[in-house]
Amino acid sequence: MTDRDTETDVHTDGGTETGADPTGERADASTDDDVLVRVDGLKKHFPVDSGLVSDLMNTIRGEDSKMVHAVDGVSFELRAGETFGIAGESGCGKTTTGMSLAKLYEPTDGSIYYDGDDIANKTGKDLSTFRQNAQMIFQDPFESLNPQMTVYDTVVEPLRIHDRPNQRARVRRALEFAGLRPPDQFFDQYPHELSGGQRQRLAIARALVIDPDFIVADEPVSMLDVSLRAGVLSLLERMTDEFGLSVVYISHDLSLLRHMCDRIAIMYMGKIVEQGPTEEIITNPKHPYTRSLIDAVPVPDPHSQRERVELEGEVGDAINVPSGCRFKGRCEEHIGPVCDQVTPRLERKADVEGGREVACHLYESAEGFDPYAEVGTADADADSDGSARAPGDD
Amino acid sequence: MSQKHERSIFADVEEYESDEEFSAWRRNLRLWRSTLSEQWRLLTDDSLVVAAMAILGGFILLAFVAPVVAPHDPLERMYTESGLIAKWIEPSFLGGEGDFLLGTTAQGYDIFSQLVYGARPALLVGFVAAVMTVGIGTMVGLTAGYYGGYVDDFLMRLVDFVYGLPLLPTVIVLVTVLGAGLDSIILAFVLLQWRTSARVIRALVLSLRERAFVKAARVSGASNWRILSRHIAPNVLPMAFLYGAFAIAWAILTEAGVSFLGLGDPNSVSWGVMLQGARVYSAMTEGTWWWFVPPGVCIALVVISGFLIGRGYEEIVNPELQVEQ
Repeated sequence: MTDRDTETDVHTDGGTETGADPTGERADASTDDDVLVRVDGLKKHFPVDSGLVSDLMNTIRGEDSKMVHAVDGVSFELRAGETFGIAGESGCGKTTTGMSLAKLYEPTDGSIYYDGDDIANKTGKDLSTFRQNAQMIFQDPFESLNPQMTVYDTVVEPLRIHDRPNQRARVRRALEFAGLRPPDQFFDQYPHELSGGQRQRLAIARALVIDPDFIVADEPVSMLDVSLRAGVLSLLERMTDEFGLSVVYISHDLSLLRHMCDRIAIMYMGKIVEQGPTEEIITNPKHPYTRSLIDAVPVPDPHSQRERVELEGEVGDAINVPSGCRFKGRCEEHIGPVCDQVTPRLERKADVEGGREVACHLYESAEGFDPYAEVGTADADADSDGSARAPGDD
Repeated sequence: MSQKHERSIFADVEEYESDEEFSAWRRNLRLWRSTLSEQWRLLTDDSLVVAAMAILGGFILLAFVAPVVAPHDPLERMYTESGLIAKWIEPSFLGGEGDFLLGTTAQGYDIFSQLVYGARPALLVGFVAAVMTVGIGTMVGLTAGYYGGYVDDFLMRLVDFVYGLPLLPTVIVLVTVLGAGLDSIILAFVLLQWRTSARVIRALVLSLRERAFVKAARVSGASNWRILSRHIAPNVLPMAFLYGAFAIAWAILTEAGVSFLGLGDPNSVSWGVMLQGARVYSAMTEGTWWWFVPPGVCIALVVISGFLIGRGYEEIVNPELQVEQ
């Protein structure tokens, strides 16, 4: 069984030969013992239309097929035992990032290192080991459970796939831990017989039963009734604690991430715009986009005198990505051609204290990058990969 | 390497419980039985479906016990007491001579015996053709929908091509080429009719493939085969059954139609062949309704039963179709 299991994903496209010098980078990664997951320049583009006919038409027209730039150069690190949050609006690429972390997508470019090894290169036994260590909890518990499978079959499946002993006892223990008690009563029930909260607990039990080290939780409570959220959140907290897990939480809900995460990253149109310790970012956001997101969180005080920045306009076009800063069209503090032409790097800023990185020209680079030097040069896009060639549009 | 953390709620699970009396096999049997009885209960809620199942069941029984029920061999010429071929005899209840329940044909065959034996090819064609069409259609649909890309393109263009062929004329041509007989009718029907279930199943798989539970299975390390067989196929099965029920009816109709046009094996017995004989000997103008009405009624009954069962099952598959009563 195990041999056959490893065939998963072999048909996916060649993300394996990316990275100029994988050996060098691996050596670099292993210097930091604590880092469990390192994401390096992750990009994931989806073709807008694919198939024989449209491929043919594109060949005839001599065009490349259009791509949706779902994730467009994301880098971060997750240390062992740490909880990391990814926040952003719908469509900013946070779920795609999460799915790439769980190796559900092969990156278009860039790499994800787990324990120092590029997961794109994992096949056979390595892949099987990775699958036992990295799990994912999905947003919608009505979707993430097979309607034709009983509770027991759902939870035991990872154990069957990886041929673990004591399956029944482990399933019982996982269900108990997830708060489905007494577990034996749930064994033969189908998902449609459970409530939303119970379903999400079941999904968590399934993720935990294999005893993973790393979990991606994609909007774990957003589909639940508010009254059930607290229970599931405390389960997630207990899970992180008792399993010694490293968790990536993906959510649009900043107050949830503030509660759960050590560090967070804010994403906008496939890029991280600000990243650092949660409290620093929430209490003192630097990037204009982060600021508007935090302003959008309601404050339970009718007399609160808060200056609100409201976001106007729509998220930009993810197919024809504009040059320069992707937020420029909606930015309150647009400062001229540098924003239009030069893509801001995610970097430490000289005038921003703390362990935080911001991608905005408002602050001065601590790494000696001078965006104004690039204004007006022919190919202004600092980290252009050749695909972001659309003219400036706002 | 995988179990390196010191804290784990499973740390003591080994001594907790060893292999036990728990039988996975018995459990699966129980689950299957409860699923089936649940579906059976839903299906038999509808009195029309119960009637249809009774009719179909009756014909199946008839096909099995045909030699016992039929008084004569269907292809044995009957003779009157005076030694002549007993042709155009009226049914016994209309006072016809001899003891022929539905009279005899122009060639002197016993119509009732032919009718009873005719259930065999009808049901054989129906079930074999249905299983084969749905089997092929499901395989193609699963493959095309799950693997996508060029595989999907190729298989679906093939389906488009087959869709371009009209059913009856193509079956007639194929049967002419392959030679008359039940097997070539079944083959011709299957070659054309897998298209419908293939396309429907593919559409279903396309949506199932993107569901989160398939992604969850992949994250757990499930192979393509496991995902297809454990996660996608069971969710496709009700739809396949549904198309199977409809295919039974269509196959029987096709067989009757092709036989009626004279492409059945003339030395075999089937309701379609009976109708063709009645037409050739112009039973219609002779007014011998007992020759052509009974096989027509039998075809109609079996086909309607198939459709009714399919419709009843469709309501289980698609609960939105259920009408408030």
